[in-house]
Amino acid sequence: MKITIVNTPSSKSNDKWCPWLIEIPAEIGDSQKK
Amino acid sequence: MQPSIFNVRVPLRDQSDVFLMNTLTDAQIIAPPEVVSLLDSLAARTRAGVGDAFDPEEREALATLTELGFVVDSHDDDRQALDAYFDTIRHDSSQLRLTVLTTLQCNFACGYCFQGDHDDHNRHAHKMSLETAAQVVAHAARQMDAVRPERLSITFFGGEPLLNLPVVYYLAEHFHAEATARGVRLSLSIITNGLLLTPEVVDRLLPFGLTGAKVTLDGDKAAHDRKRPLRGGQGTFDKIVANVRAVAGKVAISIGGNFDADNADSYPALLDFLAEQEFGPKLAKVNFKPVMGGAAPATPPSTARPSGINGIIPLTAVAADGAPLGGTCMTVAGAGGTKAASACDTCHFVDETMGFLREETKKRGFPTVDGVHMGPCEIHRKHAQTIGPDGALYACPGFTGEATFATGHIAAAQTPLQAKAADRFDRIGAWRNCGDCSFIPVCAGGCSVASHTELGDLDTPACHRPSLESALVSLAADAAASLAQAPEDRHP
Repeated sequence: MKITIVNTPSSKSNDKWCPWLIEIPAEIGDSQKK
Repeated sequence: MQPSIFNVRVPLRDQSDVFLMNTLTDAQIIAPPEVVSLLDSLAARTRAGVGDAFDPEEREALATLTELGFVVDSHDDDRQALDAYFDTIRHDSSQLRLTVLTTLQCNFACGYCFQGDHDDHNRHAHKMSLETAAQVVAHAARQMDAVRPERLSITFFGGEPLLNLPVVYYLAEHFHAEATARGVRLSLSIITNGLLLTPEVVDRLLPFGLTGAKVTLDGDKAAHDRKRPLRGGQGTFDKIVANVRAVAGKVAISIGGNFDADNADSYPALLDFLAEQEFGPKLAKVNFKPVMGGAAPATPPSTARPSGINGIIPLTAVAADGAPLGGTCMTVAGAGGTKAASACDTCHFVDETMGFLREETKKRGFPTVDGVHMGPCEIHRKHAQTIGPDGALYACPGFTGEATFATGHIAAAQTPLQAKAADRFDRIGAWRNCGDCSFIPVCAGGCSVASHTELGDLDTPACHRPSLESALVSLAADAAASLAQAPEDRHP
């Protein structure tokens, strides 16, 4: 049962303020967490 | 011992393995079908008291799955962890985020914006005065002293924020001085239509912490000029692109765009155009979103492959009674549907086109959102505020101008009505009505402005689950591809 880890748990950055309505790019330079 | 309710899975194409993600912990794994079977049988085997019967291989797998959050003791633990997560988001003090609307005036006449339908809009639209700007700076200073953030994130928004350059410059300079005095990092960004985003403006703001600007292009030149003309009717595409070309090396530029049935077909041509530009590789993000109301398209755009008659979501800048809301530049809508929580019944076009355009964007190598990590947004954060041109405070730009939704004022004592609104937003949580949906941690029940304007209730979820599901499939494919490229780097 080999489990391959793609991404480990961590605190989410959630740097997108407003996904549906208005994208506010205040943290535009931050890398998007995956 | 149970599988977490926040587990989502995608069978990988052309292989037996499965992509698993826990949306609360953000853990992502690729595992063989036996692991999925183990998860599926977990609750029953635990209930039957045969937990001790797990063989060593299963126990080893369960240890890893537990560590990553895929296995929990009980669903009560899941719920408690979710509450703790939202509590952490709400009280996060690492950043103070202020969205400042320098003016609600606009030099564009976008057909989908209610401002464009009102010739006298600019005569009545509020514009921030320098006196109010000074009060905004004092408010920010007080907030920094109270919250003690590591970073002050300022977004200039409108209307068209650059129509009030004296206030933009004043705020930038004074925010910078106040933040520097407190050892707080400052980042400034602008959401602009791009017409006035000249090198001179960027050069003036860079020393004060300008990090990015979002510019909107509604499709290729023909589509954009049709959608986003000047108030006199002239096209704006060439001028905006010239500005982007001139500033892209100075500041991070994000390209946004608003699609509907009329222009969705034109986005691949826009992407091709951007990919050919020298500034293309410098773009920080490219992301397109839905807009507007009205009837469903008689003939859906061929490339977007929408499903059936379901149409476009109504413009959220206009309330259910057709009256315009406060005046914020509402470039994109949220939920579909007008009756119940099953908003996605009318969202197929939006969800499918969003997915299609996201893939087209990725295909050309532009950075874009993955479509899964979509929230929670600023409305769930206590230390995020929108400041209107008159100094009124709001939980998000979508409520600007609605007096009953103002949560305070930068220079006046909170009224009972404002206190009531503030308390309302403190307790906001459409996600509490989402049952056991696995996407709650990355969606939070959707856009609250859409819930309010479309569904009539802040706590009714504005659901776009199909969009999240299709994005998850794409995320899984990307994960599998990245592992195929560098397998030895990823094994635990």
